[in-house]
Amino acid sequence: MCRVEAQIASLSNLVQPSLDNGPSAQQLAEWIMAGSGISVVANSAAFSADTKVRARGSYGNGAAAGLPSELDRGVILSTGDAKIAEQDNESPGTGGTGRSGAGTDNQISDGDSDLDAIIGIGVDTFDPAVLTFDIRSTDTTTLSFKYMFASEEYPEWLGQKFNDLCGIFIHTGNNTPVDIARLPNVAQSPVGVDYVSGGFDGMNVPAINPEYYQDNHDPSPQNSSLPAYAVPTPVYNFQYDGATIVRPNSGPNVPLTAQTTIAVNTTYHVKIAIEDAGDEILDSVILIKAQVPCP
Amino acid sequence: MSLTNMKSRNLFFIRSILMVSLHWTVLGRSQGFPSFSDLALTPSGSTLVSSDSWIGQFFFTGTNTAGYLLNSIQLRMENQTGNPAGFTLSIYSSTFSAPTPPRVIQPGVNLETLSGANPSAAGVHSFSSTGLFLSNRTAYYLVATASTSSSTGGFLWDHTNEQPTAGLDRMATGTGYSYSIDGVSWEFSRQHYYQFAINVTAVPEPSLLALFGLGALGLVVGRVRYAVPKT
Repeated sequence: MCRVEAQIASLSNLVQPSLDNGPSAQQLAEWIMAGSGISVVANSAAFSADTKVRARGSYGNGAAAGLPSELDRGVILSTGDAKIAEQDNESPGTGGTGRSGAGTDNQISDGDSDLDAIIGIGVDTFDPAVLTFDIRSTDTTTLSFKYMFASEEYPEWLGQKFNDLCGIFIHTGNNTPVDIARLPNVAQSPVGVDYVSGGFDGMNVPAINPEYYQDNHDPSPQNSSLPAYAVPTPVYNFQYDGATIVRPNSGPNVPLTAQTTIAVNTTYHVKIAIEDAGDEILDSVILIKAQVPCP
Repeated sequence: MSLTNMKSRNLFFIRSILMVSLHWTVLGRSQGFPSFSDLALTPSGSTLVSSDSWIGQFFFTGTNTAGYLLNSIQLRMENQTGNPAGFTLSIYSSTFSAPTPPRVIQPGVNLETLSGANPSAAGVHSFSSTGLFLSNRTAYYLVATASTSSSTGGFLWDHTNEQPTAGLDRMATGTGYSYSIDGVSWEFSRQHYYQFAINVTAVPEPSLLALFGLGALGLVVGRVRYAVPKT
């Protein structure tokens, strides 16, 4: 068992440090890129979210919590308090303000501009958690991130305006950022609540790209996902009611992969971002594979 | 008493017990106690209900395939402010604010206005239905309003921030509510839950009805077969 930072939870085995004494944005970036042959430019990393909440963190023992082995250790960004990830899935709707068991939201009323461009006009967005850093490689190589999007919005808030989403953007110089966090379907759909789901028959919302969706058993009676995708008990020992996944033809399930080719000796700007849509209440997270060091 | 008579009476007794049990199973579910309730949770505040302050709390019915008949609704209220009048509590269907996302759930059509007195005093107030049919696994709205405007005061409906638990067949409150100044244009929020209890009767499943019929048939056949001719 790899103990990372303070061991807070025993049930979920997900670990998340406080912002006060946890890893810096630079450390998170370096852990994400460790072993890739790609360097993080010194002092280039930054993280933005309200400092009152712990919207970022690192974790260990993800495999013991049921996550794909690639995500055994990683970095977590949340639209609320990432500590919620430590909880078993006993609540149908955790996050935001005011409600029982709720974390605090990130208290940022404007979403991330690149994510907003994906979700389109007419939707208010909140609580972005954004990790940025610059990378360089001495060889032309493939930049690759293994990640999972998970949300408390599943399944009862599908098909409405609560389309929480994430993205991994990369660009050089002043070029337009390109989102490489896309589903491996023909449409290369974005990754978010209303782009991948098992549907919700309580409100007649059909499944969308369900082959990339893993239900995690919303404990409320509203958990009337389409039967083909609903599970009777949580698959992952975290609070979120649904998540993304890839099911290979053989072997265990694996996380989504975001990847692109980067040129030699070129500085790229990377942005990993997640935000709430519709309101700030229910939380979503992105888990990214990282070589979080064991103590 | 002859052996035949004793046998007949014993069979009649056993069948009667089975019939009563079946009747209780099919028709007695949820009668006399709430099918869902969050009335016992600690209120986090209350909201004025008036002709210019409509509140709609949605809820999901349970999993019983044949649906439910609504008996009554209870609301947890605080003492009214001012001199409001004409409180009404209605059951609405649910709909969406737009055909496609981004959209939100909101009250649709008024299905029934329930019977009950003005909830003027703090406490739990009951409102009766004529037996409105509710489909299973469907979102409906409780919509409260009054005939007087907020300028004269209003009725106060409690809400809670605590997480309600499921009721009969996983019946539950929706994790959000709608509000309106005119009952036509609705806004939506997920900040808290308006407190209510719902009492329904599960409509018997066709298979249970068939079992009920078989039991009744068996009772009749048994009585004929073991009947002792009068002398």
